[in-house]
Amino acid sequence: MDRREFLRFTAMTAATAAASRVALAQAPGPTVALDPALAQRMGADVRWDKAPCRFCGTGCHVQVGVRGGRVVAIAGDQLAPVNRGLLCVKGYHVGLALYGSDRLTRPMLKRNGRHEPITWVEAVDIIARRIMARPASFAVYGSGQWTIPEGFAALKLVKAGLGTNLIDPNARLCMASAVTGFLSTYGVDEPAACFDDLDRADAVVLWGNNPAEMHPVLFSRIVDRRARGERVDLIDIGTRRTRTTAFAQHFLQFKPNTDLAIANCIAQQLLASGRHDPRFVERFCNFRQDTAQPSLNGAPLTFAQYRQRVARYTPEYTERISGVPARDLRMLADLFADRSKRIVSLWCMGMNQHTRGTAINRMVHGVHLLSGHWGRPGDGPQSLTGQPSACGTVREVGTTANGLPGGLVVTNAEHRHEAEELWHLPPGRISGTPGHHAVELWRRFSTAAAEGGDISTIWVQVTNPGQSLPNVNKLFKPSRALPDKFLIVSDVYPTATTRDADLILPSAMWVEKNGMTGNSERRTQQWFKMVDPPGEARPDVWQTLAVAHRLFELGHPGMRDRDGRFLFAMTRPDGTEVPAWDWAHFHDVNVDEKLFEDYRRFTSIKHKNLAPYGEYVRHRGLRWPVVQDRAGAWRETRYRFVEGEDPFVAAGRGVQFYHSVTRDDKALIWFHDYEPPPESPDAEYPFWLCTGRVLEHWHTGSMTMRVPQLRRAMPQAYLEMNREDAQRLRLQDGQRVVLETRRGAITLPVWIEGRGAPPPGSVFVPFFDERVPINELTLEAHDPISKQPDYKKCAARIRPAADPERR
Amino acid sequence: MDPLLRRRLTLVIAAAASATALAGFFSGLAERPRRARSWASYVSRPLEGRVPTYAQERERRHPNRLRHASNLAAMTAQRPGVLDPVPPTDDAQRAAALARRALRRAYDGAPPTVPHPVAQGDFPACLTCHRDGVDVAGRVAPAMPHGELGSCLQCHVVSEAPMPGEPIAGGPPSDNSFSGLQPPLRGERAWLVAPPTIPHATVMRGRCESCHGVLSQGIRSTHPWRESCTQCHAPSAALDQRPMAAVTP
Repeated sequence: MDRREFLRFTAMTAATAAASRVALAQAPGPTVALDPALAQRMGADVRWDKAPCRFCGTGCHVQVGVRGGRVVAIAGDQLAPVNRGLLCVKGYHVGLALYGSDRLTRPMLKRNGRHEPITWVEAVDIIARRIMARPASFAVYGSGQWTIPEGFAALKLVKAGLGTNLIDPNARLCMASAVTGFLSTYGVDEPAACFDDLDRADAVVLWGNNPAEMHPVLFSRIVDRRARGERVDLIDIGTRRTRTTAFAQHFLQFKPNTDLAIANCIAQQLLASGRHDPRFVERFCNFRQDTAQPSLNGAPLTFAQYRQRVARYTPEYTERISGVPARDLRMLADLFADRSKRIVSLWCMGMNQHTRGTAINRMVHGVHLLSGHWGRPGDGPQSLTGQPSACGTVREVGTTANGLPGGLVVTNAEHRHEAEELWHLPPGRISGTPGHHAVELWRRFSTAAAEGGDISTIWVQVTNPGQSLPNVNKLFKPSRALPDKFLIVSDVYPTATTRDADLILPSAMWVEKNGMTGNSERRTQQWFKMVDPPGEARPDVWQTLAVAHRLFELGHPGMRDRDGRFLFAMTRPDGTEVPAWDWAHFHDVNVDEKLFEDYRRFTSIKHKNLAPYGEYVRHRGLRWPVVQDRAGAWRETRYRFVEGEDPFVAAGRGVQFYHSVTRDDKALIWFHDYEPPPESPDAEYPFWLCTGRVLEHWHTGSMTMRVPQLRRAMPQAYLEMNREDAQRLRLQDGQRVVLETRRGAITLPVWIEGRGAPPPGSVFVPFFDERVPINELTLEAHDPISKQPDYKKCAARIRPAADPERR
Repeated sequence: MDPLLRRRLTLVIAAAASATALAGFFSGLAERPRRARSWASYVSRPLEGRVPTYAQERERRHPNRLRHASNLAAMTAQRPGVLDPVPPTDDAQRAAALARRALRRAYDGAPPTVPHPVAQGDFPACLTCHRDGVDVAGRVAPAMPHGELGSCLQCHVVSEAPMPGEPIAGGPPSDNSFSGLQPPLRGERAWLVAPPTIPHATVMRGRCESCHGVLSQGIRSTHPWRESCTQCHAPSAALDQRPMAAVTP
């Protein structure tokens, strides 16, 4: 290249860079033998690295392209077994979530009603002193978006340090019923099946599930098989038509809450015609029913009793309850009766956000067990999760009011003892009294101390309860007016929660820090920090460590182990201690690796074995249990409890539920009667109100509403309504209406049969839009076992909003 | 017959046949300019002095929004053939085409947003136009550059909000300082007329005709009849986003 050409190239590059605001201060690509100017224009100097997507529980891997210290591109990771190079629109735009214009960059304290910047030292000191003053009224409210090390650090601080169990996650609102469903069926949490099933199933039964919008990559994994000439039937059992319905062969529209009756009806038909799988049931199943006071393990039932209890649920009887034609119910039972077909059941919030959530979870497992559709590839129940680490962090690390790492629980003295040994704590440090579940925790925070509201400080990390809690007018807002209720919020953007917080801590997000998560199919994933967080934003795990060490300095006895060593002491390979709580030294050691290795020791106790950190660096996730084979290689497990797949199943057993509640290696098939929901439409409030998500936005929209492409496609919440209802109420498309329940009222525009189509008498509102706080209207009634609230059904009424111009 | 007469007759017939063939050959070679039909020819003509139709009213209110109530077969028939001459493009046209392309993408490689309304809750009929590509009144519905994937709206969202009514004011700020990877100008050439290398990743963009085919503008191939693109245009290993391929079992 001559001088003139070089100048021309340089000028062109500079102009391009200026136009596209690409920073020029970047490291050149590692081994690129291209002309540098051309290389830059072609993007060959972009460094790519893997990370799981920040959003849902599918756990797609993305390739993140970084140049000049900023994320500039995203690509689907072709080597990722979950998504095989494909993403959804949120995933392709996940990199933009870092660059909203109003990132939180400084710690801020509310003084005289205003948020004023303070230093990190002050912020950490304020938290530590509040804890020191009243440790028993301090709680942590976390998230299924916590990375595994973040959740582990918070749990250790609360349970091993403060000696309370005052920690619970937003996942209580999300998949608690799935957990209790697994625990009470198999004796241990999390799916036995995996996503490989989606490639093999002949039929997929969707129980109140809309994966076309909520788990798009998994949905594509199913429907793209059709493009390859395979046949896969979709049966959508739902309360409203969605994008998924458009792909389904059958749509069974049921009345809210009557899924209980539908599950019973399948069982009734299988038993009445002797088409269940007697060999599977005899070898591998026991029967159960609820006790008078619903409990996790219930009371035994014989097969004869079970048969008698379900006998009532004939197709005709069930049609009267559910509104699903008997013909369709027969079709469903015929499907389960056909052992030559492989059937996957998928569910997510429809079954979990349900006042009988535990029951319906148990019953769907039961239908599969009863019919023998269990344990073959492509044949079994598969619960989906909505958050990237609801499984990895909340369920496996155990960041709940009663959990301990690795599936242990605080109510079990042996488990407490085991944890105290592993953490080298003085005996008795870990409390055997469970803390409060999310709804109860916030109720106590929003109740005056004199009236029993004994929670005075909550530290919220990685979630937005001011928008996502049910009935926020009761559970969240009152606390903001009460004296001595101190709300600490770690977040990346201003939200409905930070707006009313007393102390705001700016956090690093996603690839601004190291991280590990666990997806819906037991897949543990890892990524490295790729860019710096903005301003003074710092990782949540550092924040926890810093507060723990400040407590240590202030002399809190719980911050020391038996030998007086700091709980989170970390050492270099040469044995010298690293002060990782000091920001200047945080990156001297891989804090994630240290915490993960601490956590990993718990995981073999209940056969949830994890591999060393380094294995996850090399893989796009591994599904636990991960055990070493004879050659020393770490092997993941596709199917739990199945011989030849699960290393813990004894030879010759076929299927072995080795954590069985009944201790005989059998799973439980539960019976539950249909029960009406706690609130149903009546003359005063004649509509069913359902809430949920849309494709473009993730949860409360704090990240996705700041991504222009997503915001433009779905700029605001709406009231989705049936055309008949709109005509009857004389409402026009786009008209503002007041939607009201017994708990609150909001104004929003009508969208007649827009994204989905609810049946007459039923409406739907997404919850992503902070300007349309739909959770001021929802019910905090919750499942008696899982304590998960029901966001999917309550009674509402609608009237046209007064026209402001005419007033 | 007189052998001489027979020979002459044969010669005359042969000459006439040759002349017809030659004339036919050359007239066939002569290029007739293809007249592009405007969208208006696909829909009914407006009736002067009458109440406008709903279609006209819609057009008046949304002049930039294309109509889809058109005859697909007619539009498909308008597609240029691969042997049709390719109009030359200059750098300005190329830059304009790339800028137009970038408008619908957050970064080079992002799934483009959809510039027209789509069925929100129904199974969309995307493949009708986007399977092979079609020219709709001067705007190109490109053929999809990747293999057949069923759930199109999973990645491609509309660029304009579909819901009716007035927008709700306020909410989080929507400005974003993300600055995405820009599209490459052109590939590397070893010498002046060497075939350029492919300057972009080819993942999900393996069907070259989608962007470089006969319907494309600005970045159209000069030789669309050639099918095996990578025979001459080498993809770049530097753009392969699989840095850890070697260590993953």
